[in-house]
Amino acid sequence: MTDIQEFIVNVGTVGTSDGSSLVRLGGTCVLCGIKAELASPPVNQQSQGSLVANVNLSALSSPLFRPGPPNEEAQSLSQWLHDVCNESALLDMEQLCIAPGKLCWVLYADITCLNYDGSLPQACLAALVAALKNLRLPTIEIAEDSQRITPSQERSVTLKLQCVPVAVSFALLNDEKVVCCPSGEEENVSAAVITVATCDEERLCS
Amino acid sequence: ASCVLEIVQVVNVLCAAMDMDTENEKASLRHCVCEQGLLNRCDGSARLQQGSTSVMVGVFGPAEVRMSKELSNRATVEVTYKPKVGLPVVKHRALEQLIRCTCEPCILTALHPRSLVSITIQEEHDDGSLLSCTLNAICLALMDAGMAMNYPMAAVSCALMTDGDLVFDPTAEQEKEAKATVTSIFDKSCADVVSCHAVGALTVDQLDRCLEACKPAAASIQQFY
Repeated sequence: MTDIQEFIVNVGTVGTSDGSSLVRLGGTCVLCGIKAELASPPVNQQSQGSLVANVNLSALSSPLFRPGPPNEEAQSLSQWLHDVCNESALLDMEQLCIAPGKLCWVLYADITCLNYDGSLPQACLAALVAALKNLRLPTIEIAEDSQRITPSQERSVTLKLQCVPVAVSFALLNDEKVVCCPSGEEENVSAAVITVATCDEERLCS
Repeated sequence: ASCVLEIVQVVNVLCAAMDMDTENEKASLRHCVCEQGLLNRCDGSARLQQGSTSVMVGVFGPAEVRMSKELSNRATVEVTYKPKVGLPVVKHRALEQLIRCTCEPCILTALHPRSLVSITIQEEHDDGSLLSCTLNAICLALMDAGMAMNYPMAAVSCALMTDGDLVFDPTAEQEKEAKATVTSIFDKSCADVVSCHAVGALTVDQLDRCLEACKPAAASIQQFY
């Protein structure tokens, strides 16, 4: 039961994004790219930035998906990632604030599935966390008189993650055998699939 | 639990007050009112009110299904959730998937291959425990439609407060204050958990405790059915 498939994580794969990672879990391959944009913080959270994670299950990953708007599974996964990030307090949003009430970072994390072969929540969460660790932001200077925003040339700001949530999927086969990190075929024939996300101190987040 | 049953010609109205005190925790579920057969165009419909939370469910089935969604050996289950205000967004899609995965094993889909069971949910008022109210309403609507089911599913919500107390069927305010909310769905025997959805951070022991404590509450819901 504790045999898991090959788990490979590569960071910094996408040169044009601010932070990226590629995760391979058995046959499943997931790419995460993070783009940071400047925006004014929402009225009710003046000194906090935000993280928006979006999962895209592209048609090339599996014959199950058609091109077009995100299907139910993609939206469901996006919502789940959002819940895990909130519940585990992965990121202290105040780190993303540059000037309270005026300017903050908004991180858009786009997670694309390149090959769909089961254990998707596990792979997506790992890709998101790895990309956040890889993220490099420039320091922002706001000129006092003209309010001009100048980003610095070097990217030296890294984000501190308060915890590292890890998700593991289990599939129940034939009512007796439990398989860890199931592949696509195993998920199809299983009676139930359970995904558990935990933080460091044995707390379940989702 | 005490049950008062009044059968009216056109509309069945079931009222039951459920109060239950267990030894360790105060397990009292809010007053439940259910109305079945209120929509005459649907095959089956039900409106369930748990305290102030109210949900209306309409069921069509077995009906014709589009070729792309057709399954050769069983019925396709389709769930549509309509929020009270605004258009359905990403979190409602996630809720639809959760409800579909919970209802599929409950309905005897093998009896109706190449057809569709369509469940439409309209949220009327959300005052906490929305997911458990929705699933119980779906069960009642399926019964009204005469759909063959493996077991009547009973859903119970339980909130774990910061002081370690468990509150069953929490209101919206209690859910906001709680450390975590666990919704668990049980089958007829109330010994097996069919599905479980947890929001918030909690340890494995706390999750086990919530699941164990929800069983008597689920038994009283089964009795209500």
